[in-house]
Amino acid sequence: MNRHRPEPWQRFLEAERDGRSGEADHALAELLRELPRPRPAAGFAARVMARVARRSIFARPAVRFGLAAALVAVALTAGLALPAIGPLAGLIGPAGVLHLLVDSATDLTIRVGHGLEIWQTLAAAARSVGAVALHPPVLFLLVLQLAIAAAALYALAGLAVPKRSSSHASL
Amino acid sequence: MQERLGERSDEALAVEARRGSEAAFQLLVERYERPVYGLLLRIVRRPETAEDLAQETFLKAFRALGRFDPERKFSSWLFKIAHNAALDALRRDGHEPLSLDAPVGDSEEAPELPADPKAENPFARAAGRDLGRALEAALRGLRPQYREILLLRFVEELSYEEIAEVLGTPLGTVKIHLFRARRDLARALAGLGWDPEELGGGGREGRNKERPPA
Repeated sequence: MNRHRPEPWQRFLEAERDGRSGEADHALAELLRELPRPRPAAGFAARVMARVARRSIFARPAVRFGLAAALVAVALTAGLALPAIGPLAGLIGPAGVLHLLVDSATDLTIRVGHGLEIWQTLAAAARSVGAVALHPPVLFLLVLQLAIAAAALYALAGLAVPKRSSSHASL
Repeated sequence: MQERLGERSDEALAVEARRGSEAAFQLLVERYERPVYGLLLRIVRRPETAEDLAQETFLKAFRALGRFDPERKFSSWLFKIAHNAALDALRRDGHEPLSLDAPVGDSEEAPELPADPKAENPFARAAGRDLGRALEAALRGLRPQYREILLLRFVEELSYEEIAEVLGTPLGTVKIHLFRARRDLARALAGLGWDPEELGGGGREGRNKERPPA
């Protein structure tokens, strides 16, 4: 080290103080270049490359070729298998599709009708129960039952929750 | 093949990697793992986060290789990706973005920066270790954006234009920020006891007067 020449940190601070911008730049560059460069944990590049390999698997020519071959095979198989699907063959064409649509619409209408019938039955039952419940003795019994249930629930809750000990009280 | 690849420029390696050469990309990772990790560590200040972000930076770079223009400098392009990754991470964690108007925080915890034991580095030796610590402390005290701009300029040796590209700011702004960053670093160093006048010429004996980093 040259003892007659001030060290970079001195030159930097002095140049900065005196407004000598260019010199401050040079000295600071010299100073910061000497800082130790932190390094990532060992095997960083290998970890990155493992992730790259996972991501780039579909970019490999062999994988791409395999995928393309598989798609072609599926298409060919589907073409060969189509004539063998007898029952579905009638669906192919405008008449078959129209037939399917009409069948579906009819089926849906029937099912909606059945659903409405069930709702009507349920509504009638609810009306009957309501008419009975509106009688004063029945209503009194229902309210009493509700009060007993609420009291029982409260008592059960009290039993289920343990009382806090003094050591836990402060937590 | 590996040796020949090793002699190529970053930009040539990037082109090779774009053509599907993982070996070329691995070389780029090996060349830039320390600069990218070092930059990120000094921004986010947590080694685990810095490592995650560094990995993310290289993965993003790999995916974006198709858009890399070999006429541009690879390092600027990569540092820009790293800078954006750091910005996103800071935003995700609810930290202030690297805004130049943001207030300076001085309560951040200092990271342990692992030194290279094999390096022939004055700061790694006992005589210079205290200055190294003071310099790290002074850098830590700077705004993150000032820290980043100083490192890009003086450690990674990027030009003003390249820094402007990395940070996405106009050239004039880069110059102003560099000026302020340098000034703040000088003040911080002086504040830590590294003042040539106070140390009476700055000889080795003067270093004993160093105060511990705040």
